Amino acid sequence: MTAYIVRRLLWMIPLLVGVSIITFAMLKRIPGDPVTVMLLESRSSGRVITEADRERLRKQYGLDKPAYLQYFDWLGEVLRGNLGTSIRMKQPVTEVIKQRLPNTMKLAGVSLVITLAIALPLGILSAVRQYSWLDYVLTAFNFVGISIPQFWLALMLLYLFAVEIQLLPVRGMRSPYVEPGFWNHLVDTVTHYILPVTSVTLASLAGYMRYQRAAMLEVIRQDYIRTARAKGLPEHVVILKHAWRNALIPIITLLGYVLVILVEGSIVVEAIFSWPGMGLLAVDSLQQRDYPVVMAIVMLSAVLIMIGTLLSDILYAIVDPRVRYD
Amino acid sequence: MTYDPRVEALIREATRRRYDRRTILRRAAMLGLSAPAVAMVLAACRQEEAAPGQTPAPAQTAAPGQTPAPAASPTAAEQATGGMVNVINTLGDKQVGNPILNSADYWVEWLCFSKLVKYDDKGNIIPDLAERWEYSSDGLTLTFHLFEAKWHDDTPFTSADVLFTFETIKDEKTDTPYGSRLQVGGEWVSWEAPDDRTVVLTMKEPFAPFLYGLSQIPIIPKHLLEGSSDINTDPFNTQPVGTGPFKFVEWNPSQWIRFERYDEYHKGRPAADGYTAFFMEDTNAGAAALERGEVDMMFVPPEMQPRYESDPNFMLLNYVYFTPITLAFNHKHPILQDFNVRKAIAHAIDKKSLADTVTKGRGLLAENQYATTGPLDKYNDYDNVNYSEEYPYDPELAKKILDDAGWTPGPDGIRQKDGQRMSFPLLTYSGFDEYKNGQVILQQMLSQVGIEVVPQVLEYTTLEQMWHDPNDDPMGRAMELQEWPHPFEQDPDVYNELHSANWPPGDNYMWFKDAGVDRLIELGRTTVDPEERVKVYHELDLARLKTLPALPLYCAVDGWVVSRALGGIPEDTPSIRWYHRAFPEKIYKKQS
Repeated sequence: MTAYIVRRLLWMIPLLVGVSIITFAMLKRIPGDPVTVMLLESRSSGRVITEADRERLRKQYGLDKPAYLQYFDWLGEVLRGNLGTSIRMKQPVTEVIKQRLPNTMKLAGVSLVITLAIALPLGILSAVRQYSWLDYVLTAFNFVGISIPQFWLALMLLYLFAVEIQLLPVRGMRSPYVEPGFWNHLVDTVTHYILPVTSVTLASLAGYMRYQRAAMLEVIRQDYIRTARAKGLPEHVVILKHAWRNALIPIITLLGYVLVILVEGSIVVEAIFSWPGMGLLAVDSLQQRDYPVVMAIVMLSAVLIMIGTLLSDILYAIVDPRVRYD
Repeated sequence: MTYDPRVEALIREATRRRYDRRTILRRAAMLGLSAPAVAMVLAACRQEEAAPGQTPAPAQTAAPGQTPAPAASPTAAEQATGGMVNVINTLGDKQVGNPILNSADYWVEWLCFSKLVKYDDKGNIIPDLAERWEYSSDGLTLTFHLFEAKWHDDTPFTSADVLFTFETIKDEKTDTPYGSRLQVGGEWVSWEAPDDRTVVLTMKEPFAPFLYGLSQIPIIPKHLLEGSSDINTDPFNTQPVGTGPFKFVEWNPSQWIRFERYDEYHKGRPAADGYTAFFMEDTNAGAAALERGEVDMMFVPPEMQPRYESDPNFMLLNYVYFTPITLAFNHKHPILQDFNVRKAIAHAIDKKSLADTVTKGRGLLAENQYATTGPLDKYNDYDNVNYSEEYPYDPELAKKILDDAGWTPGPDGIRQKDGQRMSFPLLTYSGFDEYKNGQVILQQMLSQVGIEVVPQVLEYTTLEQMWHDPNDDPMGRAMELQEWPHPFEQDPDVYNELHSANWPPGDNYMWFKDAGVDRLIELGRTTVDPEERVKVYHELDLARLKTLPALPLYCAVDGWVVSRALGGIPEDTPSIRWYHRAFPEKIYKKQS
């Protein structure tokens, strides 16, 4: 097992180098650079930036060098533990990420807890009462849920509750002016969470529910469940203690990816509700060609996905003793 | 003449919105106004020259020629000042603290900081930190006398701060786009401070756009930034301290920036209690917030303007661009190098119907080098220059010119000469329906005279790369529909984009070259006397008319929607965008 983990970890190095080269090359293929984007902005706000000014800035950001040298510059900095400075925000990239990461984790965390709290029981119910009207309703709901694009759902929620009914805030995490007092702040915070959390939850609910249902269906057909029932155990003990624990195995392995979800968040939902998290940062940075930030986010995701899959595999071996890695 | 309130309303509306004559006549007809009343409106609007070919206004009009008073601003008794003004930051989250660094936040720059001088909404240069300034008689020395002012942390502002700002910009390590603002003829100007309240700048040759350049440079505090190990990442960049009318309070990344009134502001106590600038990149989200009353003012694109035109809760104020939308010719293109071809194209275009269609009647015809009613209007030579008179819409004439030049219709109806077809790609950048529609209309108009136009819409960044590539193929970029050549915003100088010294990788990306135009551009930027300078640009207007580097089509008039909950904004401002930059301290939220 230890040898396996070490091997997997070592494999990450060439993988990460590969990811970084591909990402860097793709970034460079996008037309324009941070200076061009600035030029467009200054043009729309009426400023003329001369050729000399542009050259000076390009030199400042190392953009005057050939692309492969820029890559090595970047790699050299990263190996020394420096993710670089955001061109747009003039702060170390680590600072920028530190400001946004907690916001994404809050949104993703709350959504995940709510999603699991709804999806798991309903998935179990659906399996236990297979082909009942409840199962049909949930299945129908799941098909709709899987089919609806998240951006559409989020925009509809926004339009309905924030624009038409004006019940909930349009955007952001909190209002700039809140009357002092614990309750006022609580209400302000909660109302800002409702729409984004609902969007994320509704979009991921169906997947978890289907997954749980399938796992449960497989388990309740096993011999040891029949044995448990034959022992005369009450049905809820059979389902929750004997069946569910086994049906959780595939769900647990999914949790490896939760790491990624928590850190990456939902680009779509964050962008629509201007949630100041990692997703919005990724979109903004890409638009502004803020290369160091984009590279940092992509590399962070790559690392997390690799660690996530590794964790899933390890968890799998732990919860299911039949699985062995040698 | 009896007083008719409708006349007054129409005058106000016409001056505010800068209607052209046709619109005024139409509106007057709708209101059922008598002919003398209409004449009065027209006289008041001084629009006679702007739309030639219309019936002239009766000359005997007895109406007073002066423009009406700005639309009723509420008296102090009715509405108290104060309140938070809520605005939108459309350009996304940025570096907030240091306005001389690249990608500085827009609102921080305009609310927290001051420059030596700035421009008002009418294109006049006004004092900011400099109370007054004067040029030496040879135009080589510029002396600024500074206001007594204080930084938001109570430290007195002195000439040392100005010098520090200039030194920081000059420092190669500083990540700033303002380097060339402090250079004349490629050399840094020299600066000194004889005392705490005086700054003297010396340059090697007279340079008229210099003040404009200074109007771009916010002054930063020496006492907080001197000795910074790296000015580009200094903690100050998240905690700005300026001399402007509002103090920075709080930056919530990607959410908002909050400002509060700075009572000690050197031009007097600001009217509002504070400002909040929300980051909202999406215009639709912005519009939703506007209608909910969460923001008070925002730029709206043309397609959204009609819905605010009649809404009693909002004012739709004008924002006139400084450059007309033009059909720009690539002068490296072998066919378009021929003046007669450009001339024929000019005759083949019905500008009026083009402008009316793509701007839905809001645009103004462009007959000169700079936008009508914009900040550069005074540099237009209305006496001698009128593109529609020089090149009237006349397809038959266009055909004749092309025939005479040897371009005869081929089997497919497209003209050809020596086996070459007269076919031009017409490029524009994406994001503006107006341009896309314009391309199609131009394509149709030019096909009438046997010229093929192939419209192409590119991302701005892609187009920009082509512009600055000296090896760019002119056959693939024959014409562009956009605004070329750009002057500096309130300064008429077009050296960068029109002078032949700036061929790519410089900014003259349409490769224009004409010795006479070059000479006038040079003269224009070395003539410091304002009146003499106007004369030079009148000459340039004529020279451009005769050489056709680009054909001006129409002047886009965009709008800012402003909530009527705001006070302190004159409704007749020619450019709300410049008004709020120049006078943020006058704007407030009405308190009932």
